[in-house]
Amino acid sequence: MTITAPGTAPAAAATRTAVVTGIGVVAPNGLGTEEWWSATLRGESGIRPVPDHSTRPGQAPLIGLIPGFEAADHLPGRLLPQTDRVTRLALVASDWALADSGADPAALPEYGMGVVTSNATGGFEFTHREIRKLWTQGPQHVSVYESFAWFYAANTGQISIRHGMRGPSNVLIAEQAGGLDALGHARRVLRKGGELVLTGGVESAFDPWGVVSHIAGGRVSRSGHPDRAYLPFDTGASGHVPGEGGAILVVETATAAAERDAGQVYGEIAGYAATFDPPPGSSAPPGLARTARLAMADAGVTPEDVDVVFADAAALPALDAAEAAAIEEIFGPYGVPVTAPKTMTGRLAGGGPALDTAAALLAVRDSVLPPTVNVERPVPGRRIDLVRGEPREARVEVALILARGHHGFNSALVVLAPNRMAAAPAGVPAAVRHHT
Amino acid sequence: MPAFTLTEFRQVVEKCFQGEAGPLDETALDATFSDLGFDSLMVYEVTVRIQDEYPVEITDDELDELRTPGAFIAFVDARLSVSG
Repeated sequence: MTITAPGTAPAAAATRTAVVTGIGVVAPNGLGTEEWWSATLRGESGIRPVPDHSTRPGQAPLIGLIPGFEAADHLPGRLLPQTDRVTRLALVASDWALADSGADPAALPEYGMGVVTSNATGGFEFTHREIRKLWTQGPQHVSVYESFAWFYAANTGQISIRHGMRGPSNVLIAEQAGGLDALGHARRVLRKGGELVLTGGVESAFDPWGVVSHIAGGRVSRSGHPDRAYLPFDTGASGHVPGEGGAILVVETATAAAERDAGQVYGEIAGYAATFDPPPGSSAPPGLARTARLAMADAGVTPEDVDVVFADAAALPALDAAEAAAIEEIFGPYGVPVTAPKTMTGRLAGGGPALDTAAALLAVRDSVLPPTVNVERPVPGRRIDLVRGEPREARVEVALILARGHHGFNSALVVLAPNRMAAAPAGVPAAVRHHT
Repeated sequence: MPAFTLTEFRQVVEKCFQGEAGPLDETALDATFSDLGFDSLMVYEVTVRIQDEYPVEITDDELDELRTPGAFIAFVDARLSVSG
C-alpha cells in the first residue's frame, strides 16, 4: 500500500530520496561539527571524571562530558527556565544543523516540516532540582516547567516550536537503537509527503541522580582511568562509559534540496531496519546480523559494497562477541573496516547513533575513517578489521551503522555517498539502479 | 506606600527569564499578558517565583482572574498590605 499526503500526486521513489543536507553536533570531544570531527580524527577523547564528585581522586565515575557549554550564549532567556540541559543541547544542535543546511524554516510550509528525535533519559537535572524544592519548600515553589521539561519528548517539542515545524513529529525510544530508529522514521515521514525533517538524538543526564541511574543500569565500567574505562572488542572490556550529546541532522527529499539549491548534500539515508532479539533462553541467534542484512537490502547494496561499519561497541565481552560474530558472518574474516569513534565520547544512548551517522557522512566527504581509541589488546580469534589508534584513509561510498539498545533492540542504517544516490530518471527505485 | 510595584514585578520577571522582561513598562500595565507575549505557563512561573520571594500565596483560581500586569501587581500589593 502506498500512502501519500492529501492533495499530492503519488511520489516516485527517486524524488522522495532522503538526503542529509545539514549536521549539528554537540559532543564531549567537540562542540560544533568541525570541532568534533577534527578532534575525533586526532583521537582526542571527551571522557573525564564527573566534576565536583566528592570521592577520592581516581574514584569519581567517568562520563563523556561536554565542557564549556553556556546555553545563554546560544538561546533566548525565555527558553532557559523551561529547559533541562539536554534540551538546550538539542536546541543548539538543531540551530547549527539548520544553519549548516542553509534551509530557512520561515520560507518552507510549516506542515511540511517535522521533528523526529530519540532520547532515552529525559531531563534528570531539572527534575532533581524541582523535586528537591517539592520536599523541602512545598509544591507552590516547584517550577511550572517541571510539567514537561523532564520529558523524553521535550527535545522534539521545543525544536518544533522554535522553528515553527508543525508537520509530523515523533520521539522514538529504544535506548541506543532509538537513535537509528529516529533517522529511519524521518525517512518515512518524507515518503509520506514531508519536505524536511530535523532528526537525530541528544542525551544528557549527569546530575548526581542521573549518574547513579546510569550505574544502576549495570553495564557501566567501574574503571577510574579515562583511557582504560571503555574498551570495546578488547580483552579488558568491562562495560561502557556513558556520555552526553549527540547530533541533529537536516534530512530533506532530494527534490526539495535541489529546488532550494542546497549548498551541500552529505549523502542519502538509503537503508534502515530494526529487529528484536529472541527472548532469553531461546536457541535462536541474536538479531543484529539479520538487522544489518535487512538494512543493506533496503538500501540495495550487498556486503561487498560496504566500505565501513560503525559498530555498536557495547564493551561487554558477550555483546562484543555477538557483534564481532555478526560482522564476520556477513563480511567474512577481516572483510570490512570496523570502527567505534564512540570510544572518545562514551555511549550516548539515543544520541550515539546520530553521532555515528554524522561521522559516517563526514567519512564519505573526507575519505577517511575515524579511529577507535584505546583498544590495544583485541580479543584473540575475533576476525574483525578494527580501525585502531589512527584514522585510516579510505574512499567511502557506503557505510553501515549498527546500534543495539538494552533489552533486545537492534537497528541498522545504511548511508550512501552522493555519487551513489538516485541520479537516475525519477521513478526508478534506487534498489533497482544499483544492480543494473 | 505600595510594597509591590511595577519595579518589583519587573525584577521577578527578569529573574525568571534570564534578564528578559519584555515590554513591561507603565504602558503595559493594562495590556493582557497574552498580548505582551506571556503564555499561561510564564505567568504561573512568575507567580511561583513571587511566592518564593514574598510572604504571599496566590491560588490558581485567583491567578486565573489576573489577566494584566496592573491587576496582578495590585492584587499582590493588596495581599502584602493585609499580611504586613
